[in-house]
Amino acid sequence: MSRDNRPAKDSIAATELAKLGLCERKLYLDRTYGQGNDTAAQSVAKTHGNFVHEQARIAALAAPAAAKRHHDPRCFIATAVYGSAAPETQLLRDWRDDVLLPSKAGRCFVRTYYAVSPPIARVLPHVPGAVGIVRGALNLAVALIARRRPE
Amino acid sequence: MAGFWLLILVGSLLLLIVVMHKRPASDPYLRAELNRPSILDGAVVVESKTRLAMFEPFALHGEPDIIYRTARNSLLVREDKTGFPQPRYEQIQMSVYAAILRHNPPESLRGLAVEPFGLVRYGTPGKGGKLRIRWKKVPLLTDEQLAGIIQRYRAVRRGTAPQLTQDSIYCAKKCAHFGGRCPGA
Repeated sequence: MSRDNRPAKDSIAATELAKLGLCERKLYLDRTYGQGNDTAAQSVAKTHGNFVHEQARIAALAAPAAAKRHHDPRCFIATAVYGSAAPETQLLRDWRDDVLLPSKAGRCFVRTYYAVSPPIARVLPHVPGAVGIVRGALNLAVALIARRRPE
Repeated sequence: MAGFWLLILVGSLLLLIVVMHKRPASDPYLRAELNRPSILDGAVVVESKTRLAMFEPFALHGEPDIIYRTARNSLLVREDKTGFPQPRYEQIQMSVYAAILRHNPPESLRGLAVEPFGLVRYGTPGKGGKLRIRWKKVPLLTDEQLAGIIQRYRAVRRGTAPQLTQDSIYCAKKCAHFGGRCPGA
């Protein structure tokens, strides 16, 4: 089996195969009649899209490796209760990424949480019994999330 | 009297939340990428726009935007999109890249597991001309599912399978056939 990256003669490009997810009719018509010409508006949009796309790629390459593992500083209250490297904290981070952030309401909730939680996290260790109460509430949340999470 | 003070407290809290929402975030994380998935913490870019290809069990090739090596020593595919979301297209595209990484990875990446999901980063214009960044985790297809897709692709291209129109918005915005008035849209 060849290990180089020259495509085989009948190799299918990823972007070509993915067109099956857009319009199968267009796929057939492109093969039969050619792809056709873009309209002026489509050309402009394509040029702009390519430019922004390349900017995003360059930004990703230029960015230093993100925060060290287990040092996501945004999970303030969970970090104060469980610790930054705890599996419960990571479970809550994953739930944030998978459930909250994809929706507008979820993002609104996350923004609110980031706004109000740092001072709460600072005060928590100094209020007798507060960590225990918050831990109990978080344990319940973690148990519910873990139960619903597909493996 | 107690009720009055409780009302003041609740009202102040609500006002605080509204004010916090309105002011720009001071945390540089929040300013830069508020909702970057935590899987990217500690990840490094290992490939970008490099031509990759595989030959068995099927012949596929492509140039993924970004391949990360994550902190847990796995490979993660990322695609950047600037237009409207096309979930099925993105899923198939990234599944091909992931399959290539499983079957014929570059020399330096051999032996690393490939994550069963990819990340799509949408950069679309938001209010006031700002770029609005959103991330989406996309479950990727297995080899068996890809094999089915490749079979269908070949059948559609040959014209031996009925063609389905998947996305009528795509038809209106992107398709050059029928001047945007495709009867399938």
